Amino acid sequence: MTRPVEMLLLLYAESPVHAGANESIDVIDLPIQREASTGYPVIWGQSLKGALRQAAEDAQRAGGSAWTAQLVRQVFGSAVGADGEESAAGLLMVGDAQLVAMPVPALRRTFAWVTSGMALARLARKYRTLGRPVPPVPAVAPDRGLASGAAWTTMDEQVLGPCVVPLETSEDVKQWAGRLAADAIGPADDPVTGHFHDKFVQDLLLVGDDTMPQLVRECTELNARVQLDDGKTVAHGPFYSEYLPAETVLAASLTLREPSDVSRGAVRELLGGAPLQVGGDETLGKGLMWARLEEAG
Amino acid sequence: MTAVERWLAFTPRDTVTVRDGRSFQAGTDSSAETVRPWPSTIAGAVRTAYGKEPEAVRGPVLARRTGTGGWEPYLPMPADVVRPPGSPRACLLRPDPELAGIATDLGEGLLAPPATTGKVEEVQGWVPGARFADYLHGTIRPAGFDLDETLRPYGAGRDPLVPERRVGLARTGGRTAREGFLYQSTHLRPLDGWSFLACNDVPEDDDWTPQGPTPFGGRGRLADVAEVSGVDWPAAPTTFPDGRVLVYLATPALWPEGWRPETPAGADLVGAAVPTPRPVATASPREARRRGARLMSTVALRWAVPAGAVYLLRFDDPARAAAWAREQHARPWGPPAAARLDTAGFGIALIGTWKGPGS
Repeated sequence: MTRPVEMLLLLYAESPVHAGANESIDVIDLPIQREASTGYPVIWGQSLKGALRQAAEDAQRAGGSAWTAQLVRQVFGSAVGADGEESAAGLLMVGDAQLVAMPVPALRRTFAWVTSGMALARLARKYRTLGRPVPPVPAVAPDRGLASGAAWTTMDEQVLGPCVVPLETSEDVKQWAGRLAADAIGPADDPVTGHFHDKFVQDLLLVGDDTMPQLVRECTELNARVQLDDGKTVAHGPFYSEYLPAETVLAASLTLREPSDVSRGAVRELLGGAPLQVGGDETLGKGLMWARLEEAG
Repeated sequence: MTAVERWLAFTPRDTVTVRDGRSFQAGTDSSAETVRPWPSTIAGAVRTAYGKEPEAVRGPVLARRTGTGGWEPYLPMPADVVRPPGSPRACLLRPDPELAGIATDLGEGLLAPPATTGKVEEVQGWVPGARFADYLHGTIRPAGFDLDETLRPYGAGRDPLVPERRVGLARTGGRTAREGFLYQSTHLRPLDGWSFLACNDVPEDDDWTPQGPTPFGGRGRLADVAEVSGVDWPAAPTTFPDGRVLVYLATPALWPEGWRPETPAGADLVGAAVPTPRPVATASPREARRRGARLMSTVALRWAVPAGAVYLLRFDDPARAAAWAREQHARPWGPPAAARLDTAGFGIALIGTWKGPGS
């Protein structure tokens, strides 16, 4: 039997993303999905797989690609509730899209991306399955932080969202910033991605375990929404929706079983730098994410 | 060919979901619960990792990576450990002479807390392997002990497997919600640094190199796999005063007689602390493919004695007890309810000794 192919899917949010959870939290009527053990935002594997399937079906309907109805069923499995056919598991195993870096407002340089030792360690594990070497994950005190760029260390402390964090520069964080800017954001010499590539290289901050849980909890976007009736008065609401902010970077492991040139090529084509629609509120312009695929070897 | 032990660590990439045995179909049912991985779950993962079947799989054992890169196994709290509600002091259920002569459907082997304790409740938690050896060696006072200081169970009520409720929704071709296809399922998310271990008996002369990732449980969840060294079962005592042998189930057991195992020759079952039985559903996609049959034809549902159950035996001869313990420790206590359940990790028994209630 052919060995499964390991892939790493990096997602970069073009617009706010609402991958919805099941229960309201405090005043948030429609919260985003979060890990039960850490509180970190996440996009469940089942939600991500649904989004990938939708993209493949759209490509099949549009024509001009490798995707056929048979290949969609082979890669993603039989559709839920499909009548008259034996259910079959798909060949593509889709893991949770875990948080890599999230933008937080700052009093310098508009915003910075924050990450944590745990987030980078998880990403390092994913890179290891591809056989790729990674920079070391530096340790940091719970109430301090490390910066990729020198601009963050001109003062003793920096304001990040609701937190004030002392920062110092780190060569390891700088290396991680360079790796992620290239793999998740895009090439430096591309006029479309160049600006944010350069910003990511300068503005990645690794913060300690006292700070990160507060930032991932409080630096998401909250939108108050209402529904109007014909008389333009409020019929329902207000209700509050939570979004993962634009510029967030997530990573998910993908495993393709029994790969063929056709299935591997089709997955590569689907996720090779194209925008992907993930989560809800699509008609409100939400959930657009750039997808980039890293493969073993 | 001689068999040797090889330990494998399965580290879920994100969550684990193992069905609790009830049927579930999106569009028909609206919620699914999950349970901790069964022995059959990890035996299937071991088979996939090796690409062939070992002689026997023993597990799963929940384990935590230590600061030095090793592994500390954690075992479910023994069912004979109880405490007054909210009390930091616990005691052990032991045969009570005061209850002798009371007739019940369970026979005469009734266990009770010390007479002065009053109302008690069961204790939940995970006991580290090093402390568990103290329990097996009978060094804990049944009449009362400080729970945290003596057994050091993990976390103050925090489980290393955190339940995570997830909703799923099927969509129509028009990108709207498909009516009746909203469901909820529970996954378990291990805390960082926690994995499931399996102890595997493999022939010494063959190549047994694991390859991962492997499917682990349902819903397409994957686990990374690695061979680990320096981990072992908690040690058993070597002497058994008065022939008193304690049997602790490290994994769920499926026996022909339900909760009651086959008593070894020369021994009496003095008492047992057995928690609520759990339904075990197993299925074999490989067997279905081999027979060209539907997966549902390989599904079996049985009731298991849960891990953590404790049985107190008394042998008529301490030497005979020691011989049985040497043979039985960290092995399946059989016979199983069906073929291959013992080699799939069900009913792994850890052997200890026990003292009377006044000790």
